[in-house]
Amino acid sequence: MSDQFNRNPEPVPAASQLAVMPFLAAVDGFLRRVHDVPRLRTTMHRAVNREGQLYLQQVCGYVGSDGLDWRGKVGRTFPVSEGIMGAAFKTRRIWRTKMLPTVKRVRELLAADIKKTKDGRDPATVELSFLAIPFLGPQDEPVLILYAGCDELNFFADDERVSSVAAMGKGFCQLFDWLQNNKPFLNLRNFPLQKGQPVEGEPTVYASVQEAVENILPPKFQSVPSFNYEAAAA
Amino acid sequence: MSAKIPDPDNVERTFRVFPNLYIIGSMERGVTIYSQQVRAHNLAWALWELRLKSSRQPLRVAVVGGGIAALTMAACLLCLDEKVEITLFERSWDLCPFQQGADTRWVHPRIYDWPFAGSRAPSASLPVLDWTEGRASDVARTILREFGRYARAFATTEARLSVYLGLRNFQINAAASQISWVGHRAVRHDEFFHLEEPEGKADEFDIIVLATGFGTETTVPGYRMESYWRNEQLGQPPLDGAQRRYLISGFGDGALVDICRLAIERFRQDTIVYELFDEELDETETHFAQALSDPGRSQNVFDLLRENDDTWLRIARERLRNRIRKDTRITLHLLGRRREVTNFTYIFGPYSSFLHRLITYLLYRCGAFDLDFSELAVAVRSHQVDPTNVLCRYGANTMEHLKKFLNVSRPIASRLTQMKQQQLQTPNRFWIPGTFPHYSNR
Repeated sequence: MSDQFNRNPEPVPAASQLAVMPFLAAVDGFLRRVHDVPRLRTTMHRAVNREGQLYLQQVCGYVGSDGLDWRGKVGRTFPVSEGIMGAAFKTRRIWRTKMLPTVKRVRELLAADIKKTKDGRDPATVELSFLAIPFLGPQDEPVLILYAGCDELNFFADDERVSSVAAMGKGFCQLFDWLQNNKPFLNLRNFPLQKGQPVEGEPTVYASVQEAVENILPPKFQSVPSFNYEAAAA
Repeated sequence: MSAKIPDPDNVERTFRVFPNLYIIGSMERGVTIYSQQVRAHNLAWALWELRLKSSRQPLRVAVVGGGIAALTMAACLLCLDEKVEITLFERSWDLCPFQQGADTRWVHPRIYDWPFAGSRAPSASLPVLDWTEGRASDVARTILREFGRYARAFATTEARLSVYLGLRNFQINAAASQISWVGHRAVRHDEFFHLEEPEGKADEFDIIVLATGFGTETTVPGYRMESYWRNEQLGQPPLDGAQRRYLISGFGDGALVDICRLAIERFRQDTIVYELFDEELDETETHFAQALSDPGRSQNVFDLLRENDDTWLRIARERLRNRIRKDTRITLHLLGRRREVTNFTYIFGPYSSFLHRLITYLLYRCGAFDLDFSELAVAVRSHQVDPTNVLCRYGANTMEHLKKFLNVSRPIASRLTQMKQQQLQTPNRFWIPGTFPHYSNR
């Protein structure tokens, strides 16, 4: 399925990018509060419709310790079954890399999963920990998906850490619900995206390594069914 | 479901006039800058899939025209494949000659699709030569800047992009895939060009793409006929306190938008739906989008508008009534090229955007203009309109325009007529997401 998608960007309005980046920077700061985390990076994807077909689209670059890694990243589109994001999209639950005893064990399991998913990645260089948090809309439809990855063993297996990021997401949702209802910015609006038929293929989640988080609920918008902030001229 | 990927053969076929000769949008109805750009993306993608992707041969492409569709076509092909060698021909002395400096025309990517979802979004969201709503001059500036960036990133050798400006004696021989011309080769400096001495030349191309639009608008002797894109002051209240009479002849979008500008105080195309419907905008959109999805209802919308007069349109009508310009008196002259218009309801057929038809209906209900169905000269006399205030918006004669530089043989004429009847160049995005590389990643 992924072969049907080319990896060049389709545009994302600058206002939409700017709307999520400070949040991701805050998440990044929170995740590094005790110590620096190797290869930690976060980004946000959104559900986006194109001619009746629903995809995931990377809203902004990866936020990390060096700022923003955006060239060739922002605007990429994916089928809704892509990797751990796809699992979060389908199940409407938070997904993460599960608790595993050693790096060696993670690599062994990853090698088997990569063979199954045929995503072509090198198990030796794939991040040791992943997190995907869906931000659900009023009808429980995924609107945004936060994606994080890093090279620290069991980093997202810590419930308290995941719970804290989910709580930050809850605050993000509350703010954007308020903005949606009160419209304080005359020219900055969330222009609605049409609903579409999800485009999916074989799931490419790493099934042996990654798991749904059953005990922490994902953040939820009450009033935001899609995320497409744009600046109008007047 | 799996991604629905259209067959590039089918897409390519809708643009093909003759073997190796393609035309973008000239025979289509309801053409906008955005829809022409989508068509350019579609054609570039289809040609890439069919002629380039699995070939090692370079492809020599002539793009005829220097407007936004032509620049989009050239930029799409440039970024898609290094084997493409493009020659771009523009009759004027600069690119985007229509929109450059056009400060009085507002352009929005999809407002003519209103009330359908996404139509209000201000950005075109196109992978190549993207832009956001604004004055036509602002959009031209963005497009030219973006084209310069694509050219800088992807036209790495001289053969990749040649531009000729100030053309004379430009002729296309479609049967021989040959173009002959006299013109100035333009040397690019980012988004600007330096002209070399003129030269006469003839060359053969693997593909010729006509992105020449429709030609200039039909003129009527004796009456003012500034091109749609030239600056004028119709939208500004006069400073001398006078009340002026205007006559607008025609019923396409060009005519109806001028009715709006002359009849509505502080009219802006980008804000009018917010001002008319305010808090009820989303619900109004949904209501009319549902109604229009019935093909039987969307052909002529007069009855639909009349049925909603006292419900969905009531508040909008009252709001509009307070905004009728006091400094103008307007006659809408309706006759048609074949004198086919005999009543007002006719113009609510598919000759303009739904938004313009809706506002025209509301203006009619507010008594904002008179109607006249007589011969133009009679109408002008009877309404005592100064000939300088007569605006004839009849569109262009595209076939005559094409004949100026293309030998329109019988098969070509027949194919163009077929294209006009079939209207198959749908402005839907057919390319696979992520097809087009962006200059920022080079």
